[in-house]
Amino acid sequence: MSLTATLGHTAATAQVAAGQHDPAIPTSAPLIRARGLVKVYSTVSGDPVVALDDMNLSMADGEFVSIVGPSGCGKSTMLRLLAGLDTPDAGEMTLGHQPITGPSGAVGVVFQNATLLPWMTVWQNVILPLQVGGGNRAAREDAVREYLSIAGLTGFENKYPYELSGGMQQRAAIVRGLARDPKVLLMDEPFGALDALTRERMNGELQRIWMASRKTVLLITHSIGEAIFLGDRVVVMSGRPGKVLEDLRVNLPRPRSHAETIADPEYIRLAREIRRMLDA
Amino acid sequence: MSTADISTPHDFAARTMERLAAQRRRQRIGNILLTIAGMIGLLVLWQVAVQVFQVPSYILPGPERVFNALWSGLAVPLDSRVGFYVPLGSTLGHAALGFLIGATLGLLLGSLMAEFRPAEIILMPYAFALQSLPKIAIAPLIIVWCGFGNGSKVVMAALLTFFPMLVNSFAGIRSTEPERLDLMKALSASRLQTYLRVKLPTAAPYIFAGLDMGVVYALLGTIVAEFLGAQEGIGVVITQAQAVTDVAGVFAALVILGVVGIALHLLIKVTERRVIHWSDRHK
Repeated sequence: MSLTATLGHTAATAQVAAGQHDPAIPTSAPLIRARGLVKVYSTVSGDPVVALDDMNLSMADGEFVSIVGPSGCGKSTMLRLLAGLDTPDAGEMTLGHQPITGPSGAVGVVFQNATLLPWMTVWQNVILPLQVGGGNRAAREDAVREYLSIAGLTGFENKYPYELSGGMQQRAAIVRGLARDPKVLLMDEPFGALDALTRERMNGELQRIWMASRKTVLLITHSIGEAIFLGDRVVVMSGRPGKVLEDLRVNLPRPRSHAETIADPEYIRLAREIRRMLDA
Repeated sequence: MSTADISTPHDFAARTMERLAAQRRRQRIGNILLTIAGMIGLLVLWQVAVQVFQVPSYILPGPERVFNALWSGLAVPLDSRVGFYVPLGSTLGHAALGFLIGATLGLLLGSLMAEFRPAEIILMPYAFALQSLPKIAIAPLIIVWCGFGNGSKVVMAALLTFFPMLVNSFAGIRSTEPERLDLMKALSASRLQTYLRVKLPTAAPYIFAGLDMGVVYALLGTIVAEFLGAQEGIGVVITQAQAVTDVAGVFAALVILGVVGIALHLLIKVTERRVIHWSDRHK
């Protein structure tokens, strides 16, 4: 329960947990800060597409932020910029106090559709970041084993991805994202390919893994329910060019369960507000 | 098959699986028998046609004569000069050497072109031009350069294996999914790490398709070089038999080549299934 108190930035726990900083009040610098990000892509026809226009985002250490928005609103572009996979055309991003200039071990990425390598076993897949990165590998292997166990994948180390269910594949991808002990985990619609029930279960699993790992997580999703269920905050983005419409705080106690959460008036209020914004 | 046999649902499931497996087995045996029956039918038709139309054996010998020629070439000691074994060994040995050289060079150059844009820009026009050229037409030139002997056989086999390998490894590496490249980029993987851990395995099905073509082409290249002038090999056996209008002998050598070709193809297929076990099931 103490874990819940330190990680859940809810109004209720904030009152009882002394010394906890509320990310809405910037007592210390946020872990991630992105200001005025602009990204323009050129298309085959030669017409430029403005994917992001003056995008701002800040995330406190340990915070879980969901970004929700219509297709093509640039949420994946935002993730690619933070992951160092693309460079912005304008604006600045910092992680800690360092500017983000390229990929780094401080950022873990979980891609759409798991992107496990089919020729590697689950174990080979999850330690891939350690093998290509170097560093003190043996020490991290134990941590990876621990994450596998938290993700319920112990005993499946020597299976190949095609022998796993879609949900298990995605959990393995999350473990791989955590392998280097990153400060931040960026997730790009990780559950988009799963059926609705598996997806709900995976949301619960992710909440559990997040509460155990104490990572800062940015989740890109097009599911309003998923965004609220998992997030401390939900950032709502406009259609192209993408910018922030609203930054909403989710005041729901953790750990959350689907049965309880979706009946909570706060959940219903947020869901309605976000839907109105996206429909407008 | 009465309901009394079914004691539990689990039992029933096991029985059903067994029944389906037996059904599949029966069907497979049936298919094999049908293939054999077709073959026998064709041979009978051939024999009858040759006798009815009184085709002279220097034009088309009956299957019986071909079988005799085959038998006389096979029922000899392994090191006999008159049998099939020594020439077959020579042909296969040089084809294998050429295949290895051609496949390795094709994979290396294909990878180089896929990985480095300047290499692609410089080399692609030649690859394209040579790809559209019937490679057999180069054979006389190779004979001029490498002489009437084993060197030309190896070079021809290598040349014919090289192109499908080049094209397939290039296309295979280029087919790597962008998401997988993003994954490696996010991990700050080196170019070599990305190549070895992601691109090469992605290209593996293409590479095996190239090897499958290459193994047949290597044999083809060796035989052509032997036709144009060599001291030993199945190609020499064929030209010698042709010179004395021993058409049954030519047919026997063709049967040998056909069987060897099928065996090599199966060898590649079995290796492929073992190496890329994930390929038919992933996604």
